[in-house]
Amino acid sequence: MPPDAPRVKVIVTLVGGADLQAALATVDRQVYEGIHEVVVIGEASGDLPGRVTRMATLEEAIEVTGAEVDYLWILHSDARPRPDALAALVSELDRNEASLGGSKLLLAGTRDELESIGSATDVFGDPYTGLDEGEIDLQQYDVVREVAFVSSVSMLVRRDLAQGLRGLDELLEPVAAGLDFSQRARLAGGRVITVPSSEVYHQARCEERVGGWKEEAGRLRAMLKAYRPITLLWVVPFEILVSVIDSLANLLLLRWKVGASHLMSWLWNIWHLPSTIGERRRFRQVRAVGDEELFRFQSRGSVRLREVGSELTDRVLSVFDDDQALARGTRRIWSSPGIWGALLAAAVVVVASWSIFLNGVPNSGFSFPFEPPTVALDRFLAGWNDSGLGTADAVHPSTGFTGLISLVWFGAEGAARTIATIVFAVLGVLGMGRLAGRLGFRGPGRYLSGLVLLAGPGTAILAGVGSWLALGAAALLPWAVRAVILHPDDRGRHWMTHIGWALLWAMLLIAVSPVLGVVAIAAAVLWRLVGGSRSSLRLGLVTLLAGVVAVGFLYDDQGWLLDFDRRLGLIVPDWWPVLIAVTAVPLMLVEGRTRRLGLFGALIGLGGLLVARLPLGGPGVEEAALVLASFGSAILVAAALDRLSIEPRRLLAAIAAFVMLLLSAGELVNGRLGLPSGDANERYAFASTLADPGSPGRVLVISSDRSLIPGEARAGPGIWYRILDGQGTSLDEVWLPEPQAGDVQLADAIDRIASGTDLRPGALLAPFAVDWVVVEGVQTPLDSILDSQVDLTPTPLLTGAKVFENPHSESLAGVEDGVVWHRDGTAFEGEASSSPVAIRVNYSGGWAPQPERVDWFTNVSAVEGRAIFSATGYLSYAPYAAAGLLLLALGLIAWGRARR
Amino acid sequence: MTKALLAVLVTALTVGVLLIPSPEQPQANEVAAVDPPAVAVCAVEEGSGRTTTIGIASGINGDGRFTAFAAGVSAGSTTFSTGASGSAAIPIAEIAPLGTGAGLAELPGQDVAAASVLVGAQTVAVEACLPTPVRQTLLAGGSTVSGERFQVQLMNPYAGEAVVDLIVQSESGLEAAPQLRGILVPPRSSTIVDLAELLPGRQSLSISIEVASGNVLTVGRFDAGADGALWHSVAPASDWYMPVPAGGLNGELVISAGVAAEMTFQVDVYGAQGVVEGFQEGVVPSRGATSVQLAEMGLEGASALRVITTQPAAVFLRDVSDAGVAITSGATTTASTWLLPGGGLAPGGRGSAVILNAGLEEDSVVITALRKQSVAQELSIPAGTVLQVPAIEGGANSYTVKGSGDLVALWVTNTDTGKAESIGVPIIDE
Repeated sequence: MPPDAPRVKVIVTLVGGADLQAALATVDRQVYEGIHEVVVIGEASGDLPGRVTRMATLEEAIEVTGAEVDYLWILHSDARPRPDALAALVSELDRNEASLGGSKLLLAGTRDELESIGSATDVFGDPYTGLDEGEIDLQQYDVVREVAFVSSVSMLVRRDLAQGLRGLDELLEPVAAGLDFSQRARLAGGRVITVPSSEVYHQARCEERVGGWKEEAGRLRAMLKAYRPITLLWVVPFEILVSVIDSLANLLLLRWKVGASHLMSWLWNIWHLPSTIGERRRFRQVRAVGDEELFRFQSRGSVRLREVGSELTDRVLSVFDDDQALARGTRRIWSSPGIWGALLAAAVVVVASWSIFLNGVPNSGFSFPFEPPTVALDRFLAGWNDSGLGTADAVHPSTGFTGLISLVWFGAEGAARTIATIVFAVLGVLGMGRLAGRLGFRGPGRYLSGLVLLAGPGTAILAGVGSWLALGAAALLPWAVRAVILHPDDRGRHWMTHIGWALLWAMLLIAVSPVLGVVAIAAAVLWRLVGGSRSSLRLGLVTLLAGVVAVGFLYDDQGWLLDFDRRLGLIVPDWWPVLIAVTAVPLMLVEGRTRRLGLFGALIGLGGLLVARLPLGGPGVEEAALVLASFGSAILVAAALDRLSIEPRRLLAAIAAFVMLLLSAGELVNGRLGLPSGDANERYAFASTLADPGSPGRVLVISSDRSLIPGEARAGPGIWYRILDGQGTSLDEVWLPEPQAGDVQLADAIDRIASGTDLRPGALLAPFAVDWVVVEGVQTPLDSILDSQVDLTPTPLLTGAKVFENPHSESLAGVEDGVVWHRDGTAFEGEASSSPVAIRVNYSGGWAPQPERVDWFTNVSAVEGRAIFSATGYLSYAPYAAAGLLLLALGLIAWGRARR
Repeated sequence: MTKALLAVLVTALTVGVLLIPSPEQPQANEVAAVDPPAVAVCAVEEGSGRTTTIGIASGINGDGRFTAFAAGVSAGSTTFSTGASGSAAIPIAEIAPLGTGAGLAELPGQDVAAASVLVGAQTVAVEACLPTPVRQTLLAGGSTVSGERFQVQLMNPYAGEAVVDLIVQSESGLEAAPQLRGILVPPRSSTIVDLAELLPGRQSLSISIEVASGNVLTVGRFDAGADGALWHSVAPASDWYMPVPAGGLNGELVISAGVAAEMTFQVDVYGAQGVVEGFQEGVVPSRGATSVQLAEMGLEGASALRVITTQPAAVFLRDVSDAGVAITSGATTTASTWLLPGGGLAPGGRGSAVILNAGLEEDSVVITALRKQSVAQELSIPAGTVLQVPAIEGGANSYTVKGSGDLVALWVTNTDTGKAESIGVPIIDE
């Protein structure tokens, strides 16, 4: 033995079924002359050569090693090292001042097939070898380099380090043991390298007997032992999430054992938790560096998810992709954390909308079916507004939007509504991802933030009361904002394309939520103020043109914009602004881009919450403010989760953002994207089915609980009430127009009924064509009064509400001699008569022929057998201008593309 | 510096959001004060030799409507006007051939009362119609011994059906006949529960009418011999006044407990010598009734009794004699003005008003016979005494009694073969 050669103690660990004598023979053949002694661990059968000693445990073997030994070579008995393997290990460890080195493992019995050249891991400890299946060793990896871990099949470790670390964890299987030992060695200040010149053939017997879940359990234990608590705080939840997704994905591949394996590994670790805690405590004394040292050698994302995603894609693409060219490309895609964020968000969206897939969109709260496209478009284009007792005022612009959607969907308004709702959810996630990308985000948070947009502080509450339009507004908002922030690559686009898109998105957004029309330009200005670039104020100004979509509605129903008393009184819990602050403030303390993005999101989110609480503006402002609160929170979440780090400020922001994400995802789990269940039209279907054919009148719904009344309700004496259409309520009727003569008289009639003075409430309600009175909720001040009247007939129905039929009700449209007219779209028609037909809607001179005011309602000539409405006034042209603007926007996009 | 400023900016904005109070939940308007309609529900009977006339009493000239209902529908309706006299008489025979039923009188004002005057070949019964339905009322005074018929009529003039439980206590204890529970009274209908058939041979019946849903008004119908009585149930109270006519001194005072607990009572007596407080005391068993024989009290001439109970109860005057059968409830209040609807409306127009002055001062009282040409008579009633005033000759639709003190009035109707007593309707002093 050369006097200056480092002394090595060889420790052979027994592997069941492996030939120990052969292993010892290969040790004997080593050319390295510094072998001090050879120890076999465990109960080996047969005699050992004279210089070989036996010990019970690896820990004991390490512990009794004297200071004269420099290195320990830990070798599995199924390993067959080349004669120069040990010499190479010693030489390279010395040269690189490393503490732990691993050999290059080749599979025994193959033509130099590579098994391991040292591995990276992801943050969850899943190894990533970088090797293709069956890859042959052509010395392509023969570079000494630092790695995350080396296999315990053949590793050389400094004796003092091994004694400090107390050897391998005997509870762990080989790969996990190697990982665990390597991690601890690195955290103790050592370097871990792979030494390709040390070649070892591995019979892989140890892996044959290894249960998959035990290796996984071992990796989990290694993680729990190595990471600091603050890292575990976020790694553990992510690990659970990844395990769930991996299990589900494997189920798609018809592999159930993976899920079971994850479960077993957790159970195993829970069982061994006391031992793990003990190990952590012991290791704390030798720890020298932080977790960052481990992160340096870890790959981004999840190896497990990458592999299963890749496999899923392979399966799908293999149908079309014979040569697997596409499949190879997708492997690169799966390494992007953004893609995983998108997939996770997409999975949540699928779960969040399962009920909509199966049962359609619920009709409750502020969510009602679309009208047939021709009727909806007729209403939008200055037709009759049938909400409440009817009005000539413009309908909510969403009526035109939904009419257009239904028209595009071949006139099937029910299917169009379902599709539109799903598309909203997808658009919301995609929109946030694309906007975040344009703002400079690349991390997993950018698509996940779409969930906060859809179910964040404001939208969750709006969706909770059934505001389908708010869901649409949230989905369209990021696109409208994105349209005024240019991407560097977009500069090559023609300006007409930019204007076209900005107009298009703004028009769609304003159609569902008119007040949000100002957000695009406001966002462009704010982005500049926080130091961003490429936002276009000119495009922002262009979006204001899109306001023509809603100008008629906003002018006619100013209370929707301005009347605070019409607000729904939706309250965002106080912990939401606190969460926003906890996310945003740490981001303000970091450098550069993240701070700017965080500030942008925080100002929008907190601004939205501020406006929502101020006693200013009507329900339109309330809706817009709440959607903005979610939008800002989503941007903030994207910023905080853009780059995961254990740097305390980023970590705190990420944890708070993660909480926001979880809270939002939780709001979506009802399967209806947060919308409430129920079907108000089905609930009140009796009004149509029990009516004379073609002549359902109206339903007066009363409750002391406003939320039990579908759509907007008016305040009455101790109650809320509203008129619903007996043939079913549609989306255009969600908001009640400004009260007119009929509404005032109806309010008086209800006041009189509530006073109890009148014994015949049915007679009082008859002129309003109220066929039914429905009292929702447990108790109202009207209960005793309706029990003590003589002309409303209580009708027991299975709705749970108190239902009264009004046998004295007038027809919605009828001629004096009892001839009833029926609806035809927005018009009425029936048998021609020389007597006028009374249409029980608020009087408007727009009805024809020969309109005449009678009390509060409208009489027209019945001579033609048809009564139609045409709006008057210059604002009646606004919807046509909006239609023209839409065509212009589409034309600009097409033209711009052609000119590009 | 910039970092800190931005952090402060975000923090300040957050604090600002938190400091602004959440918007208040939208509130409905103030609950309207309930001003119930001026209506009264009357028991009516047509056929089998009996007919009913509704007498209206008021001090106002106004219009009203009377609708007879049976079996869920309106059997007939008529309008009426109280005219200058403030009174009207509505013969049911002219509205509908109804049988035993009920009617809803829509009165021209709140200070208007109606009464059913039921007349047969040998019978007469007069009782004020019921204005307001209440959840629990008490009815006592009837019995089902041999030769007697006692029916409870549950009237529901409204559009919704009602469900009623009758909790009946007799000398046998709490009656458990299933027909007494969950009695369905359809809308615009009345339901008769024949206790003589269900619970024959009971001497003392105390009934608590408990409305489970809807609204019901209740009267008792009692026949003994040739005559019969009609009287309505009353809400339990702890202080009752019961004028007693001179012809009723052989009757009995029935005190019915409204709660499931034993209670004590005290009877004060008003007579010619004034008031004697604590004249008699006694106990009413739980949910049961106690009868006080007036003959044993040594009363002389028209008198009055005040009954004070320790728990809510009801007090009835049962007067069954050879002269006829009369049962009526007491009054729970005194008032300076009383309406005596149907007073003087029975054939012959005979009868009398029994007026108690429960005040501490003598009161000058005007009693008026309301008819086309109303006639008034003024008289004085010393404090703590009772005056029985004969009907003014010539018949009337109703009577009124107007004084200035604490009065209680009862009308006694007499015919050749029967008699009726009906407590008046007070006009509550402002």
